[in-house]
Amino acid sequence: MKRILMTGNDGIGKGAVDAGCDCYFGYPITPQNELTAYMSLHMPMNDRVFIQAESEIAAVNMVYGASAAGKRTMTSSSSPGLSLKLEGISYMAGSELPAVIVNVQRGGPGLGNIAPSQADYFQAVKGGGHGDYNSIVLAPNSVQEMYDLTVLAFDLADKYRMPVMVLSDGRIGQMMEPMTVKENYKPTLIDKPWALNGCKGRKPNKVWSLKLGDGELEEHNIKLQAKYKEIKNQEVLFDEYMIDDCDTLLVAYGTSARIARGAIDIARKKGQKVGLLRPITLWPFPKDKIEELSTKVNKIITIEMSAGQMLEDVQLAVKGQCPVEFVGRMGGAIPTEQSIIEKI
Amino acid sequence: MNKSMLFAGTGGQGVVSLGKIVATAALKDVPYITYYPSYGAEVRGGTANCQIVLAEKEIASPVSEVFDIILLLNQASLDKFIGQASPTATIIVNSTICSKIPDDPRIIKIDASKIAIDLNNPRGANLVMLGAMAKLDTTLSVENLELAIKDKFKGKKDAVIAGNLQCFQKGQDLS
Repeated sequence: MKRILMTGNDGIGKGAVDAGCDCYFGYPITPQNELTAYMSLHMPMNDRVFIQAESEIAAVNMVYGASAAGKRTMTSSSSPGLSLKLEGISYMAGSELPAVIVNVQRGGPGLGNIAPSQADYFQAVKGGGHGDYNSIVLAPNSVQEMYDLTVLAFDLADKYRMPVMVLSDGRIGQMMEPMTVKENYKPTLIDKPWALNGCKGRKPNKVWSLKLGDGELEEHNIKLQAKYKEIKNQEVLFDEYMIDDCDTLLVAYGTSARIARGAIDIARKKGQKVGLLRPITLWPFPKDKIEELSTKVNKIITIEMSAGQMLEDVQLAVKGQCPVEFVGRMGGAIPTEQSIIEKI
Repeated sequence: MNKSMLFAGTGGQGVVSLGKIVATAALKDVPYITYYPSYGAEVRGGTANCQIVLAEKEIASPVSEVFDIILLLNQASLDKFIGQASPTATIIVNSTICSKIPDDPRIIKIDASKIAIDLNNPRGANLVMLGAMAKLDTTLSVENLELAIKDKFKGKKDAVIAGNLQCFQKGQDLS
């Protein structure tokens, strides 16, 4: 397996190309521009479609169109741009259209700054746009996972016919690490009998989120919720680090999980029994695992680059069975290993 | 082995390129590598820096608070980062540009910008510094660093590559 050095943003691009992404639509924004640049070069090189749209809203609606036509498609942005895409994401959830949405988060609210952040957690995992819906949310914590989880995102999107988000941040987007790629990888593509790809010889398909008939929309929502329930049962992913004997459990994802791991290595040298549970899927959230661990540890510390958003999901999972504390920084600032150690 | 490095200077001095060269040179022999640049608003004349961690074991945090090797290409970077050097750090300072250099036994002064100008390659001061680093710290082999320099300037004229390798060589001779 050949190791290559890439930025996290390029890793997502490479993952998308390898996963057979047919069409990319985007609009530039720091700190994810390397991804747009990568796609502008590699999509045409592979005879695929790259369009720099006139706006984020245009880009997400192009994704809607390409997805409706049965193509593998994605868009990417950073926090303020992602907010603009939410209407389109809700429409895709309603119309049951697969798509990959990348958010390389930066500090907010508003235009904020361009430093790494995890403050879009609520927006990502609680639906974000209008209506009762969820997107699967994948949280890479390395350049390798930027690649691997992007490939997975395309498969999950097609499997469940819904938007899948890769939720990263400026730090992982900008940093370079060695990664190994899937050589001669051929994505497994599934049939899309619902796609709008020409109805000669068959009944026309309809991809549409407007349901005005009596009871029609509730029935549609019941179907969507059944799908979400299946995903919660089937698709939870997490990573464990030194949790077997730990009496203090850290819960963190993405960049924060890397820092938490560094803090654990220092604390362990001092004889403190600390472990890490790292959600890889933020939705569905590994709540059963956290609930189970909450009965075994003295306390849980959640670490985030936000005011405490995932913290609420951890508290819901713990159900008051142990104290849940929080270490966090906001506005593009990053917690230090030392600040975690002090809390341990 | 677990080495954290910081390269800092002003935008345009090639500190980000330096980081990419070192990360590329490490790719062959070092199991775990992270490279993290300051990004965004930096332009020529602004500040620029990048951090590299090289390790045998999986790297937890890609960002260090203390560094084993520091290359400082201008005064502002020296003032800002000197406090983050480990007690046994190797600190290489571009003494052509930095006038206020503290009296610190860890500091090695290299007249990098002048040497690069004398070699008719004023933008090669970063590689003079890298040459000094290669001599003082053998984590990365000279051979792999040379290959990474060639890779960085791939597609450029032979004279450009040769000029940069010359700066790298001169840095090694000095320290």
